[in-house]
Formats: sequence, structure tokens, C-alpha cells
Amino acid sequence: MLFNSISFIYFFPIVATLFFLSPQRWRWVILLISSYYFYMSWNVDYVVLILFTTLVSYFSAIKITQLTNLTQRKIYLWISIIASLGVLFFYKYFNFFGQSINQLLGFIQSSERVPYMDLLLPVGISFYTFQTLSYSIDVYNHKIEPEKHFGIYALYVSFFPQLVAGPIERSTRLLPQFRMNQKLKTENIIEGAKWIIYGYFLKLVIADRLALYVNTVYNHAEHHTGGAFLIASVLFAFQIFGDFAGYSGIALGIAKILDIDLMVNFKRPYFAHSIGDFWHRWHISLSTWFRDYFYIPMGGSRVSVPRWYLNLYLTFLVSGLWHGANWTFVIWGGLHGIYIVLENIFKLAPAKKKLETWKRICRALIVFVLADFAWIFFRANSMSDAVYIIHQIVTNLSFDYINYKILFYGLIGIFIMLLVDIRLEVKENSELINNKLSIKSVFFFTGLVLITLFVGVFDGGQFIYFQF
Amino acid sequence: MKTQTKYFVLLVILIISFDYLFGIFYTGVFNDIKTGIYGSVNNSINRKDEVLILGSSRAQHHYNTNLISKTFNRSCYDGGGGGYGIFLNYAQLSERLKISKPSLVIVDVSPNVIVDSESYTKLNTLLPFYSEYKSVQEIIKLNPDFHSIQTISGVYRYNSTFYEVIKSNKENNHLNGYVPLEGVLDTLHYERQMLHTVEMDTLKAKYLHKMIQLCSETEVKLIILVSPTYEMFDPQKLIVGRIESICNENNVLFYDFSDFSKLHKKTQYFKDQLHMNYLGTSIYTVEVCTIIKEKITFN
Repeated sequence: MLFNSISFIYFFPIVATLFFLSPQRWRWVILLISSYYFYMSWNVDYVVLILFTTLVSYFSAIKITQLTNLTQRKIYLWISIIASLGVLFFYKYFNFFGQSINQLLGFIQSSERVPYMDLLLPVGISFYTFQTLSYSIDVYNHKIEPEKHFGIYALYVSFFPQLVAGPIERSTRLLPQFRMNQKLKTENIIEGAKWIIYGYFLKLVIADRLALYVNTVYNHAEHHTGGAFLIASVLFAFQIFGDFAGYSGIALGIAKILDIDLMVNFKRPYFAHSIGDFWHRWHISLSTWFRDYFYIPMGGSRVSVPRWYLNLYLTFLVSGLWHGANWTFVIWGGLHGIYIVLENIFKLAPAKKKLETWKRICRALIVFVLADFAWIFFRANSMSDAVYIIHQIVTNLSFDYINYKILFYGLIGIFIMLLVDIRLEVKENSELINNKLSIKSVFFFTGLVLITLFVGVFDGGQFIYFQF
Repeated sequence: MKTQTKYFVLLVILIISFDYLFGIFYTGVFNDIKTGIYGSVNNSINRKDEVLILGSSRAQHHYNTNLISKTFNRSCYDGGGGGYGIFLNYAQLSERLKISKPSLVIVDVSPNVIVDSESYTKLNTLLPFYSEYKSVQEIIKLNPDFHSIQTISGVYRYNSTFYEVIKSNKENNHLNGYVPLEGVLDTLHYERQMLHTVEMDTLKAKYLHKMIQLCSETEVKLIILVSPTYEMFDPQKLIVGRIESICNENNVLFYDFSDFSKLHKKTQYFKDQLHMNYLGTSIYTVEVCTIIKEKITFN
């Protein structure tokens, strides 16, 4: 079930009504059943995997706290990590590594082959796997007590607003909220509605409209020239932002109405003044996850300078692989790794407050160009496509395909988004996202709803990050 | 918080009211669209032309309306719409007959559209006409992706039509719905379109029957044509055969020009396999006019 589907229009009000009508002690049941129903609406079989990951991480965490022997504790931590990552690896990466090994075997003229498995990638597996991993590691590190209530823990893993595309929540933040007595509050409805309206706007008006152009060009790379690729690549930067930030916004708004706080996942990334700043603003829940559970355990910056650079680079490389089982994602992560290492070597990331406005604008443009170059690898269907696209942009900048209708509607959306973002960049807790309404914001959100209905694409299909 | 509750209620009221008011205001703007699929529907129903051509993109590109007008000294409009086919044609004809009777209706049937399942999903494009025309309500429900909730909003009905409004103001409509194609078929990059089924969609057959019935009940002259193709394969021929039997069963004039010797396999007359350029169209239209002269007597 997609947030932008007709069935969700019925699903959420029913869930919210049942949730607030139920006594507090039964609310987790409503949310858990709803979450599993939401998840099973894609594929009933997927539920076995999420249940397996939940069971293993739940019992491992309890065993970890029961034991005092460090080796035994470690064994249970590794059981949890291997079980969660094992499922992820098998479904997401088996064929990728298998094919890569086969290419190597072919290169050395060996007749052995890793078999190809006909596997369907379970929706959202990378997101809930990371959530269970962080929980197990936090319990092991005594940061939190294990959740004894299996139902509430299962809800933490499967909470439907953020189950399939994040934000990747931490147990320290989300688990306690399921034990609170949630109330139906006007300020929550207002804030939630604002996030939902803006999220749908980003998804339907910007992402799904631009996708019509981007997909036409990128999915038929052999038929297009550099000009079309250049337009498609710039548009893709806005498409993926609209798609993912839109989803995150809707998730945040839905949870907010249920009186549950999720973390803000995007803070105007294309206004970043450095690549480091970009990663403080883009997919924040994933960046902070990698920081806390990968980069810092490897030593972070408290190591020798070369090792620090290696830590930074590896973090981005693995983050690329997390996104998808394709070398294009690895290159995308690797490029950001190179950017960030170079930025640190040459100390190119000054404090934001020290920058004059024109310098910030210039820096934002440079960051956009660098990020957009990396997006080419992210979006291309294969490495050969990515290389072909870049070659075409550099050598053959003719415009073979311009769709004025898509550009017309898409640019309306981008223009409004930029106005909103400029406003939020100037005043972060502005009335555009806080829990209060004024006459101005009432008219603004009325306009946003009407624009979405008028020019949004309502049959655009799923969110990009579902595939991860 | 009471003020905030009031503001929230105001937000809901404003959304509902503006949505409703915009729907009313925009209907007038929308009905002025003279080109594209919306113009095609608007004009075929409301212009009261004496010769009405219906069909899909092949109808749109294959009939020189000015030539037909001159030949018969009667106004002519080409209401073809790319990829919609029989369902849309039924709605156009049915609504048109409620307003006035044309002297002649030419229906160009395309075998490819007859078997194309996308002509169901495309029906949602007709949402702007939903409240105005009953027959549109009838056909739009054939789309499995249609939900009645989509008709609630006054604004949503006109989703993504604004570009057509702007474009329509800039475009010339002097060809009365006919959209001539330029260029010739490129044999080097020629992609053959084969049909993967020989089964005629039963619902489409039903609506073809309904169109024949409508003309018969209102005594409107009807001729069903299959216009020329660059080349034709067996599955397409089988579908044409089925259309022909429906016409024969109902005593409707039917002509199959799909392998018309003057044009068939002559690249200079085609833009692609299924669409003629304006040169091919001129030759074909003359042929159609000759047949009409022979077979149809206008009152």
C-alpha cells in the first residue's frame, strides 16, 4: 500500500480512529496489526522475513542483558547481527555478488559459476534491518534496556509510517513513545497535516512529474543525446529529493497525528554550503546511523589522519552499497567519499555563519553540481549507461528531447519548493512546519492542496527508496 | 488552542470551497480548449458539423477534413483521439446525437487500438467531462483504476489540463481536427508493430455494436473504415475480419483499406507503419470521398 494510493486514503483514517478510541494499553495492538497489514499489502510472504528478524533481535537482546560474560554477550550480539544482515545480504546482494564473482571467474576462464537466484527484494528490508541492528548494538553497549514486551518491540521494527522507507528511527527515541498515552491534539493534527500536505506536494507535483521525463531519458539511454541527459540529470536531483523528502514528510505527519515523533530526515540539502553540510541535511537518519554504528566504531576522527580519511571514505562507500546492489550505487557512494575526503584535506567547509550570502549561493551551486554528477551514477541503469551519459553530456550537448508539458508543470513545483525552502532556511521553525496556523499559512496550505490536485501526477507509482 | 482549532476548521472549509469554486470557474476555461484530446471531444460534440469522423490517432491523421468539406459542401470535423478508440468514440457519438444529428459519421477502426489494454487506463483522462456527459460516466467506469472518489474534487477533475488550455490558445484549428503528419517512414529505424493476440476485446466489440445501434436508431448514416497501413500482419488482418463481420451482421458499410494498393508499402506516403503522412492522407481521402459519393446519398 502506497501513501499515494486510494487505499491509503481509507486506511489511515480508520487506523487513527481505532487508535484513539482504544484504551492506551491496547493501542500497540492496533498499530501492530495495521503495520503488518500495511506491509503484507505488498506481499504476504515478506512478513516471514520481518518476523524472523524481529524474533532473533528480540531474543538476542534479552539474552545479552541476562548474561554477564563478555564473550557470551558478544556471541548473542553477533547472532542478531548475522541473522539481520544475513537476510538482507541474501535477498539484496546475493545475485549482485554472484554476478560479480561470475564475471571474475569468466575473466580467469573458469567454468564454475555462482547460480542466479530468482529473488524478489522485500520492500523496506534495508530500513528495518538497520533499525534492528542499532537496537541490538545499543542493548549490547548498555545504552538502553531491552524491550521485554514482544508486541511493542515488533511494533518498533514495523511501525507503518516509517517501515518501508524510513526515517530509520532509534530505539531510544521510538520505543518509549509506544508506552506513552498518546492524545489527539489540535497542534499535532495541524503539524501533521502541514507535513502531509507538503509531502504530497513534493511527491506528486515535483517527483512524479519529473520522473516522466527522467525515466523516458534514462531508461532509453541509447536513444538520447547529451542535452536530454543534462536536463534529465538536473531534474533527477529534484525528483529524488521530492520523492524521498516527500515520503519522509508524509511519514512524519502521519506519526505526528498519532502523537508520535519521528525524526526530520531532510533539511533543504540543496542549500548546503559543503558536501559535509549536504550530508547533515540529506537522509539524516541514515547519515547519523552510519556515523554512530560504522564510522565511530572504526575510530571516527580519533585516529591517524590517513586512517580518518579511510574511515570517511569507507563509510560513504558502504552507504552507497546500502542503497542498492549495483556498482552504480557503490560509485555514487565512492564519489561522495572522495568529495568529503578532499573537502577535509583542503579544509573547504567553513562554518556557515562566517559565509556571506553570495558566497553561500555560489557554494550551494557547486555542491549541487557535485551532488548531481554523483546522481548520474545513482540513477543510471548500469555502469555502461552512466559512462555513456557522461560522455554524451561532455561531447554531444544537443537537445533531442524536450517535453515542454513536463517542464512546465515540474518547474511550477520546483519554484514553489524553492520559495518554501528559502523561507525555512531563513527561519527554521517557521509557520510552514510548526504546529501553529495563521491566516497566512491557512491560505498557503489551501493553495498547496489545490495546486497538488491541479497539477500533481496521481498515478506515478511507488517511491524510489522502496527498492532499497 | 481554540484559535488554532478555528484556523484548522477554516483551512478545511477553504480547501473545500475553493476546490468547488475553482471547478465552476475552470469549466468555462476548459470548454474553450479547441485542440488536443479535450478539444477533440469538445468540438466533436458541440460544433454540429455535418460530417463527423471518429477513431483513434489514425483517424486524426488520415482524413483531410477540408477536402471532404469541399467535396460534399458540408462541414466536417475530425474527432479522432490518440489511443482511445471505440470507448471514447461511443461517448462522442452518443453525446453528439443528443445535441444534433450529423449527416454522416465515419468511424476509423484501428486493429491495434482494438486489442490495446491501455485504452482502458487512458479513460481517466476524460475525467473533466465526467459530470457533464453521462456516456463519459459510463465508459470511465470501465477503467479498473477508476475510483468514484476521484470525482469529488472540482479541481482534481481538471488535473494536468492547464497546459492544454495555454497551448490551445496558441494553436490554430483551421484544419478542423485533422492533424497532418510530415516526414517519411525511415526504413533503417523502422519498428514493426505486431499484435500479440487475435482475440477482439469483447467490451470493445460491444461498444462498436452500441455505436452502430445509436446510428441506426437515429437514422444517421454510418461508414466504418480501416485506413491504410504501411504493412499489415496476420493478427491485424484477423481483427479486421472480425470487425467486418460485425459490420456485415448489422448491414453497415465497411471498407478495409489496410492494404490499399496505391499506398501499401510505399514509404513516401507513410510517417510510420500505422500512420500516413499528409501526402498519403490526400490520396486516401480522395478515395474515401469517391466511395461516399457512390454509396451514400445525403438528404
